[in-house]
Amino acid sequence: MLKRFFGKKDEHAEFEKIAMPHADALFGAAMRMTRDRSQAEDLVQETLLRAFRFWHKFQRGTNIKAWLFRIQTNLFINRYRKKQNESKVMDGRSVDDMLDRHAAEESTWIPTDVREDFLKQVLGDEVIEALDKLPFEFRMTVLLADMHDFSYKEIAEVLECPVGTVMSRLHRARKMLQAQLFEYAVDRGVVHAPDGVTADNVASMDAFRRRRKVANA
Amino acid sequence: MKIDCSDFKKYLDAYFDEELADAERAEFDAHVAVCCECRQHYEHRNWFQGAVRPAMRRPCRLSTDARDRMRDSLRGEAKVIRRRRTVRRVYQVIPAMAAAGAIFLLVTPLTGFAPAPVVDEAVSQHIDRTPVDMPSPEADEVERWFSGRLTFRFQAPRFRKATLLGGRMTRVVLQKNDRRSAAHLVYGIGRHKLSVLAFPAHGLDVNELKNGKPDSGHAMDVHDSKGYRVLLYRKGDVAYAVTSDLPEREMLRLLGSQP
Repeated sequence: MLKRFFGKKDEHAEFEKIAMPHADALFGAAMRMTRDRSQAEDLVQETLLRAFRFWHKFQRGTNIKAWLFRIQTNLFINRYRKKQNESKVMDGRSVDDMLDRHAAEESTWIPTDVREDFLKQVLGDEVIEALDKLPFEFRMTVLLADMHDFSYKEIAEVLECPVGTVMSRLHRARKMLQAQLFEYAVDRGVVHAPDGVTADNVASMDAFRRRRKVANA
Repeated sequence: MKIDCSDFKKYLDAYFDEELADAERAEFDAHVAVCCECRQHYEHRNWFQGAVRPAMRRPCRLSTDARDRMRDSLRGEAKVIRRRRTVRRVYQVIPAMAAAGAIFLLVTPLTGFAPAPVVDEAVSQHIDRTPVDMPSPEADEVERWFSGRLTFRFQAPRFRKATLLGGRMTRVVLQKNDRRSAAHLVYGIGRHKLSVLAFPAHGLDVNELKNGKPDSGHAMDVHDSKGYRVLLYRKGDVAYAVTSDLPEREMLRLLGSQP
């Protein structure tokens, strides 16, 4: 009874045991949200503190990881996103342009015979780079589904949107990711650009900047 | 309902992510088995996701410094939360304690909460077997004997059925620094013994007894201690403690029998 009166000391131990193992996963997501190590660390720290303050509200037996991600996402949207430099992220127009360029998903397929080269030349930092360019909602959807294996229902809870929206965002996000990586592959000569799309106009400014960087080096 | 290629492409991700219900999944399995184009879509999605996932899932670990910093801030927060919670609980308890205290103060006078030392003193004098200093059945004679010895005057009770056996000088200790000279009168009633302790009443909250009845309609202060009944009352400036192993009703009757 005295223990109850003066506060549960083991709440801290319980939090350490249940929530802290997810710190790395939170940090991975925070890195993709903020794209800055120090900001990501701050975001995780604030997430954990907030989660600890509301630990009594966490329903034992439910998905702790989803609960923590929800706190972190809300925190990021309310506090950090405004400070973010969103210039690296595609805006709605760029997204539409890209999806128009590759309206048919087949146009961004990687042919079987060049898949080995594609894996070697494009699937390194480029994947994260391409992911980071996706608008926040799309980036988060892919991140939760493909990096952290959340179900659609859990993603809907974390992002506070309907499951239908999750499905549609995931579909578009994966298509965008595939299109971007395809454009990198075209830029590096791994695949040929589809008819009507040239290497010069495929990756637009990114390809231009990369070529300039190589030329200036 | 059979699905077509448009549905398949639309819900390809749900199929790939195993988000479909069993029946829906069976429909998609059936479609992919017969539709070459959709199978190619599925196979490419399968390959592509398998190819990008390792890059996406590259471990991203917090540095030891950052982790330590987080643990420290959690420890600090835990202390703050504990302190805040304790303060909140104390504030919750204070009104309850105040209410309990108020009830105690209100109820105790009604239940006859008398100074316990008087009752204890009366019982211990009652069971003391020291012989009386002034053996006499005459109340007047006993009163006279005490008058030169005590600083206060009192009236020895005259009970109809009890016989006075005598009296002796004594002291009552009410508090550490409150010792008062007292008269101890011993009576006999059948096979029972009855003691009356008379001492100055100042500072004691006991009922006034007038004409054998408590004043202002208050109930008589009757206490039980160690198997004895102790009746407390006051007459003028003198307090009386009547002690016996007689039943309460009989003692009250005896008290009311005073002339």
